[in-house]
Amino acid sequence: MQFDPPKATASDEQLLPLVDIILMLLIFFMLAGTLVASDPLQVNPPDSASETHVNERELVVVLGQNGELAFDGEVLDRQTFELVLKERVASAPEAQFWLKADAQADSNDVIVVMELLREAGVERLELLTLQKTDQENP
Amino acid sequence: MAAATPTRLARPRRRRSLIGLTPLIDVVFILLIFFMLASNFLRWRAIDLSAPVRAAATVPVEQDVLKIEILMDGMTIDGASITMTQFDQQVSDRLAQDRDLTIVIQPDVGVPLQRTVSTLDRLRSLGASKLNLVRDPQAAGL
Repeated sequence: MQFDPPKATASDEQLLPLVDIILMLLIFFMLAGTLVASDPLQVNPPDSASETHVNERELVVVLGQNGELAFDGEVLDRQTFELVLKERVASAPEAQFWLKADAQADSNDVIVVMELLREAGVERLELLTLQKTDQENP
Repeated sequence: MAAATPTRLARPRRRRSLIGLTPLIDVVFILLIFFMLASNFLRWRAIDLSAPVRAAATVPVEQDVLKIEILMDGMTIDGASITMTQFDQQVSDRLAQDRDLTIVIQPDVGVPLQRTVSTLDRLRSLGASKLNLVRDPQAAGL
């Protein structure tokens, strides 16, 4: 009666709370996080005080820090970009486009891309930003 | 009694080892690490660019227009350079005269996007609604 028989199986049973917590964490990350395909360019978007939320993002034009363009998961030069863009606009004329530009990119490059998109026939365009954290003003 | 106890204990142990908890934990751990690394919690916001883009080509000249230039080291309003405190004051004054004042924002070559976006934010918080982004004529393009 002095030896404790349950101890022999305890190693397994002690793992159960651990498994519980891990499952809980797993479910949390599955539900709370969003899985998004990573961009071909490293981009740190600017932050803004805008209150417009964005959920689904399909047609995203990425503009890198030094003016590199990427669309549809590929880095493109300007000519190819215009061609690809024209095809996409022709197949979906009313589509909403998003522009994801680096915070350090030249503003004029961003405006050039805006003009490019407009020439290609894009009617609806939004600039993607992150929610503003407390920071200094311009 | 002493002989019965070990046999009764041995059975559940053998049944559990048939499935095995350790592989389950391994798989769950791997899934957990995958979701931790792959998911992101960024809070995305958007600024509508459609209207300013469309308006940028046809800025009416005769109408009352406030032109703001963002320079590398400051700003100008209608050509006169200005400090940040004067900026708020002047823009509010102009907006008080005309609620529908069209504001044209022209960032200088090399001004990072963050400053332009912050300026747009600031103007919008002052109550401006008609904001147009215009390219610097000297900008070379991509």
